[in-house]
Amino acid sequence: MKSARTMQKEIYLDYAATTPMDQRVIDRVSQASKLYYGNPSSLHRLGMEAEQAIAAVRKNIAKTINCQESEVIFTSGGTEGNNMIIRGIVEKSRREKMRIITTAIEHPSVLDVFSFYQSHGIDVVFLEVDENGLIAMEDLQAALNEHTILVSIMGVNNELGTIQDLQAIGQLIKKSYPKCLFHSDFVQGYLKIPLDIKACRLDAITICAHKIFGPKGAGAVYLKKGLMTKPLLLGGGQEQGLRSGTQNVPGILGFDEAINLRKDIYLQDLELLQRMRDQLIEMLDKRLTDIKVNGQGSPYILNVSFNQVRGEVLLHSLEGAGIFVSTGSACSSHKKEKQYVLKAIGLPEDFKEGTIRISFSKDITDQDLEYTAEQIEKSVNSLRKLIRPKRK
Amino acid sequence: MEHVILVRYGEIALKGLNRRYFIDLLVKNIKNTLRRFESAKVKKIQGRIIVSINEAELSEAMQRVQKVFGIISISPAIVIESKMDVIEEQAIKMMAEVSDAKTFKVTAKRGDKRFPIQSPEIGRRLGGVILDAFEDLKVDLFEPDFNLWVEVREQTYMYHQFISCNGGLPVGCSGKGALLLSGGIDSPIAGYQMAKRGVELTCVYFHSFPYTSDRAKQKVVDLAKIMSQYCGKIQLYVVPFTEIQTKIVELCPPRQTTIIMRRYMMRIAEMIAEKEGAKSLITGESLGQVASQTMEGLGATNAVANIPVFRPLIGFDKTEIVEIAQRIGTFETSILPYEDCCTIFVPKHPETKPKVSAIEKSEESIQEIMVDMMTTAVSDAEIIIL
Repeated sequence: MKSARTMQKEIYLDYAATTPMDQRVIDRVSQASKLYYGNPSSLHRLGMEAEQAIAAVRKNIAKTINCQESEVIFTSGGTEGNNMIIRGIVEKSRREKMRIITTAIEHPSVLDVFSFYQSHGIDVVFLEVDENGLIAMEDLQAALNEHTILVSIMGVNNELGTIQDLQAIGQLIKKSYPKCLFHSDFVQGYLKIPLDIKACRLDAITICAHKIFGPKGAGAVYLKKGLMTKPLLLGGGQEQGLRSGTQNVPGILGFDEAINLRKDIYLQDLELLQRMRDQLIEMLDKRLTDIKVNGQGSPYILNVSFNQVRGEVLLHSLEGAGIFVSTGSACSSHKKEKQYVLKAIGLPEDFKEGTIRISFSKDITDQDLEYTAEQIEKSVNSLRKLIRPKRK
Repeated sequence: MEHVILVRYGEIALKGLNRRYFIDLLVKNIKNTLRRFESAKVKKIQGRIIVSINEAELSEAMQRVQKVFGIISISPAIVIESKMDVIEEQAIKMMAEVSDAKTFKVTAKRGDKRFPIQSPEIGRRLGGVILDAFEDLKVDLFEPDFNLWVEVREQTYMYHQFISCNGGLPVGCSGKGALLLSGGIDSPIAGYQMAKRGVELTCVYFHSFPYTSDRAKQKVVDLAKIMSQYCGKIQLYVVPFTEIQTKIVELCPPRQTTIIMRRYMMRIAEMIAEKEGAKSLITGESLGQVASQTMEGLGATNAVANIPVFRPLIGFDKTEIVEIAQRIGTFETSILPYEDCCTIFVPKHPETKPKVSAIEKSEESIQEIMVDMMTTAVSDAEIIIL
């Protein structure tokens, strides 16, 4: 791909932050903007057509996660979905004593909600993780008690790519506390890795469109039938009263297109991506010393640390060569408390500073990988030379 | 009836024979800050500058005029014919608009001696009219809730608000200075302080991609934009500094790199100053704030400059600088967390008491290549006008 602005080679390796829309998605969004401009809540024909259009998408999403249509609620994306589920469940609960459990490495849109409730006197447990970012089942077992109303654990970590064993977690929770609700932020997993919500005993998950080549501003949650949450937004009563506000019809139809482009092939992609990730690790290992790969699981994400290098400088240096990666997650690079995920996995200080996240799609070619490895080698070596110059 | 902003200038009124020059410059600066307001007209009257503007744009225009240096205070005023009955009618109208006042006072000033009624008498008559019209109002000459000012000139100006401004001298009257602008808190304030004394600014920012990102550069552009509300037109030089910086880090002793880097920044800033006709350099240094800002450190950077180096913040504490930054609105932008080139290469143990002779000796090995590199850096600099 070439950048329109600079005509420089452009290799995008930040797919975990967001993805470019597929041309077919763009066409669908544009077509939907023209065709379905009616308000889905309007009584007339144009309203009904728009309503039917998004109803079909609801059905499509329900199929991909093996739930009922009525269990799919449209949102504006991951952050809203996570807030809606967690806050909705906590606010709805009338218990005086309650505990909620999550992990130390969640996305800020989960973590900050839990911290908020902690500062408001609710009993919150943040489960520790090991050096790969995995929680220990014993810790979860120990944290669960009869006051626990919610456990929220992400499926795929956005910085490390670590995949938690949601099935073991769900079964552990429900075996002893069937009434405790189980939510998973599945934004980095949806149509990338398989998920069986029934086997995992999940009550709610969060997904969004722009991580799978869909439009930004479109997402959904699955919320198990019969569960009521307190809505964040009050108003027109759309989405069964759980999410008032006129639905983003073009965004939802774009989401639909993105789903259709992936749903039948994503399992095959896994192997390809795995090879790609392994290949890049191997190339880097050959070229550089003092590097460390963090996390394990998703082939879509490679989190790698270079001793004695600053991640942010390496990022910009690669940017100069037309390669776009990220440090940690794009969402938390605005925050002061940076690198809480790396801290949680106990990464040594001299590696922590020099961490970048490379995230893939199947559009990456072998030449791209080769060039990327080459440029990383070049940048890391020149940065190391400067930041630790030889004493004279 | 017309809406105007009444502008009072202070210090410049005292500048003797140059007075006209100062006032004309102030008028020019006010015109410049209001260039996007189509209805704005700026004119001089005796002892005042009058900005006439339509009511819809008045409050936004006041926000801008308030920030122009050389102004003591402004008042939004109504202009009417200098006829006593018209004045009386307007006084009642203005009083009617303030419902919460219980006491009032009228201060009248007759600037136009052709007007038949003397100042104290104007005040008394208006007071009487107001008392007649509003039963619940009382006069309080010492602490009135509402003070109505009446200035009778060729036309009559009536107002009740005094908004105090930043004072200083009109930007441009003290010549030009080249400000070393980083993305931090201090340097924008240094520029602000010098502009307050009438200095027009050319800003010099050293960009070290990839050590500093394009967001860091954008941050500096944003800062300069905020500064320009006070300092008028600003020229911002974005100097590519990566090669020079890496050369220094590669070839000079680690403890001295910060000082040597700063010396080259001063040299380049001086080259730009010469090109732009600036007669001084301005930095945001404050004594003892960081390792390079000890007296010895400042001495070592100062030694390369051939024109005066102004450091208006030299005696300021950080908290005082932050206070100004918050007041003028640069603080929020300054604290955005992008790496800037000063922090990235900071050695673990920087030299705090450098000797100029030792630094000069270290520079010998790079001096020759630096001549070309500096020339290239200046000619390759991107110039942004704000």
